[in-house]
Amino acid sequence: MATERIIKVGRGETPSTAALAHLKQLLTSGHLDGLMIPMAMGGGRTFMHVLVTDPDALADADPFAPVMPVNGATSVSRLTKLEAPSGRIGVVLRPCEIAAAIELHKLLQVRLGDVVVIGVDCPGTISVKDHIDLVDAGKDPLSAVAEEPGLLREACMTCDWTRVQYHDMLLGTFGSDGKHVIVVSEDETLLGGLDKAPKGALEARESTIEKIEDIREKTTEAVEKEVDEHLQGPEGVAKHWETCIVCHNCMEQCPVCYCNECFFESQTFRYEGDKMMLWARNRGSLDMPTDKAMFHLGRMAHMVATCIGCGMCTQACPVGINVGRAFKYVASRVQPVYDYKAGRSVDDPLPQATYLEDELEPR
Amino acid sequence: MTDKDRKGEGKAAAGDDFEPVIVGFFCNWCTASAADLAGTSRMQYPPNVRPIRVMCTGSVDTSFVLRALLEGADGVLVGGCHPGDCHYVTGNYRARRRLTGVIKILEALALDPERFRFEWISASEGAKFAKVVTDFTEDIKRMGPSPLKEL
Repeated sequence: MATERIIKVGRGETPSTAALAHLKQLLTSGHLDGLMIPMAMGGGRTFMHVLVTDPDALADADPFAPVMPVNGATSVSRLTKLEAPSGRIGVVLRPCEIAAAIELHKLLQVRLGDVVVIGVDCPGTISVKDHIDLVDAGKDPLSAVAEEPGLLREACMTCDWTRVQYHDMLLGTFGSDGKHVIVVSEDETLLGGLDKAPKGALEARESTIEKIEDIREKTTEAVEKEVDEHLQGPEGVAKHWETCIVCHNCMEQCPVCYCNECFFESQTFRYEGDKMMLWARNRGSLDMPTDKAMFHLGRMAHMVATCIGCGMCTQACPVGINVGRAFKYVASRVQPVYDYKAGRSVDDPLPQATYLEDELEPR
Repeated sequence: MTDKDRKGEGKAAAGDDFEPVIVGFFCNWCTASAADLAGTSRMQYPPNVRPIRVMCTGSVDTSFVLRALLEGADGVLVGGCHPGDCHYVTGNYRARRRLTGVIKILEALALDPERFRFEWISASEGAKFAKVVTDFTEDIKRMGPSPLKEL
């Protein structure tokens, strides 16, 4: 049975510092042996996950940092795949990071049961570059977003994961007006010393979630409409990726692209000069580096059923291609075919790992 | 085939003289034998298919289909064993899941999904093989050269 508690945000505190005090307490008391949490880098220009064992090293941490340079699921995979660490490690993850971790768990790249997932409510993140630019310009990223919501990454504005879908402990900030943080867990040791959640706090969070879901759905519809108009047919696809430099960084930063060696970086795509000359003669010209469309569409065919729409691909693109927009659009059309939603639950079997005798076409 | 012969292959505009290039991935245990049967039975079908024998449709990676289309094929035909008949028990079911994904991707981005076809053709169905190849070739001829090879 999950228990709901509350952390009050006192004077001079923020939800971040209040929640952090509780997490620090868990580390100090030994209920957690380690904590993987976003930590300010370069004086807060960006935040990266750091594995902390010394409570005093948490000073610059922020569980609600509005920036996600790397999807945390990647780090959870690094932490647990080879051999999960002994002891209880808390990992602070936003819902899209949890979604990716759920997929990686099913792909045997993460051992979700071996970490304590601390899920946080996420109002969205700013791209690393924008975050750095804001800080460098002397602005506070959070208030900048409050003024200009369009600063959020598109993946966040069209996020499917408003509700934390899996957690061992939840840090809920939605509907609190910054006055408290709701803590939900089935594990009493993670709730030590906290007051019972007052009536209405959970309901307020729930209604805020519904409001945000509504806004995000509407934004998704608007973005899909743009895809319907522009990202269609060979010309549309070619135009979308025309500035691609084939660096494969979208694949590198994709949390669910886990292959040790990507097929598209294999020797399959290294050719003798004469072979390329043959293609150049046949077509009149050959784009270099080769296999741009093959990489994007092939990668899509390989992983779009597990795409959780975090948009790391877009953030990682050095030439500003909205890779995630295309992948999310296609994912939302491929996954329903298998009655699947990547990142939803550890209990849904991977679409490629199962089948039904009586389904799909041809029969 | 020399470079010169290859040049212009499948490049002609839609019309009577357009001869499409179709890449076929045929399961060793069924469709490949059906193709043999159609041949030895002297059934007529268009010669546009370039057959590639695979040990199971379950071994046809989604990227094979896409690569064929991007590298010059006007159509891709995958032929496998009927449900329940897979030599490896479940290969064709898995292929159906995976390859349906390719069709959905092509549909979502309006990349001529009709250029890809997946059929069950058992070793005894020489006539079905000839019919499928004939129908598919005609459909592709009607559609004209694939714009995907320009990607």
